[in-house]
Amino acid sequence: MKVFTIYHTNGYINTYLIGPEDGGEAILIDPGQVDLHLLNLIEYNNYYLKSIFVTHSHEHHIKGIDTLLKIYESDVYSKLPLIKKVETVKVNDGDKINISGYDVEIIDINGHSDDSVVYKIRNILFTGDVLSAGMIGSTVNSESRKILQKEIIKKIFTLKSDFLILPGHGAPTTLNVEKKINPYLNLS
Amino acid sequence: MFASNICEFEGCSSIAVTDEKYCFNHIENKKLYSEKIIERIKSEQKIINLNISGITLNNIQITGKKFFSCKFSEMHFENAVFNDCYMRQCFFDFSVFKNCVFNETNIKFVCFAGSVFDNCKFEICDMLHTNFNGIKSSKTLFSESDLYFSSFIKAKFNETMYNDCNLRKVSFYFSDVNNIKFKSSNQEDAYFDKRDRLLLG
Repeated sequence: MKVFTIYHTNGYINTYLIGPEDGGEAILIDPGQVDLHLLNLIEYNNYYLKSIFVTHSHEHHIKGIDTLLKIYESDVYSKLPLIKKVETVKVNDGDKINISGYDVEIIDINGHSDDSVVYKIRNILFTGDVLSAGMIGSTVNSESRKILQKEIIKKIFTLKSDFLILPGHGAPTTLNVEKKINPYLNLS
Repeated sequence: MFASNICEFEGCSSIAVTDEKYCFNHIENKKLYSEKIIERIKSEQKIINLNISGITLNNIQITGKKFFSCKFSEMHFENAVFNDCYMRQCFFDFSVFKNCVFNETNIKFVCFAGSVFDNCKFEICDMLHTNFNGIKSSKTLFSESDLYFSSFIKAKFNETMYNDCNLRKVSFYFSDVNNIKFKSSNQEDAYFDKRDRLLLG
């Protein structure tokens, strides 16, 4: 499995492209923007964009969906039934689905937005905004922040520590690192 | 991405290193494995999906190599020189770097979190989107380097200097920055207080 990180200055977000070593069906996570670099990555690797995963529907994470759907016949996966007027394949907490040969698990995390989900694929957690290197997602109030912290500790920190975390913003990290270092979730 | 097969040693939950059934701790001939790995790094230009977590690389000069999606966690580097290297999506978390030099190296989406840097130099490097959270940095120099969007959250510094570095969107909060010297760097574009910056999203 190849994983590419594409950084967009629009919203400072990370988009992730996942596909097999030798071309085939690919998954794109949070297409905040479509540019030549992204399209070249898809085409140069002989990928066909079969699926678009949305970690949550904030505009800077989904802005590129319209353009991509003009090029590829992709399914859009989200916790919401509609994203940018596009009917989605709705995902729910605990769902286990196989997409393009990858086992994908859905972990619903409340607190940052109503529709935030983490996608677990092999040893990688695509966390969107809910958890990133040394930070957690923004919340509208302190109660929501407590909910977010609780949910991360209950649903993410109980996983084995050797998961990699590829967040929606900033540098990559690991679950082991966040358990030990994240000041918003410090267990020690 | 590197394979995540579990070490076959009874009761061990670590990830097996590349080309072995065991993690480095449980490999019988550690010396032979290390020699094989050093040979591989020397002979290959592009190193992809390599997991050599736990091994020691001392007195090694790595020049012009490209590393993609590699796991170098809990490694020990002493007198290692990375010269003109290219690193993407590599994980050096909880490693130890002693007397090491990164020179003209292009690093992006890399994790050094929890590592120890003792008497190290980063010179003329691009280190974008790099995770230095929780590092312990002592007598270490970042010079003429671009650290855009990297983070040093909850890091401990002792005699650390940023000389002529781009610190745009670099996070230092929850870190003791009193022992950092900034020279000709744009620290006004970095975040030192968690209130400087909204949480994500």
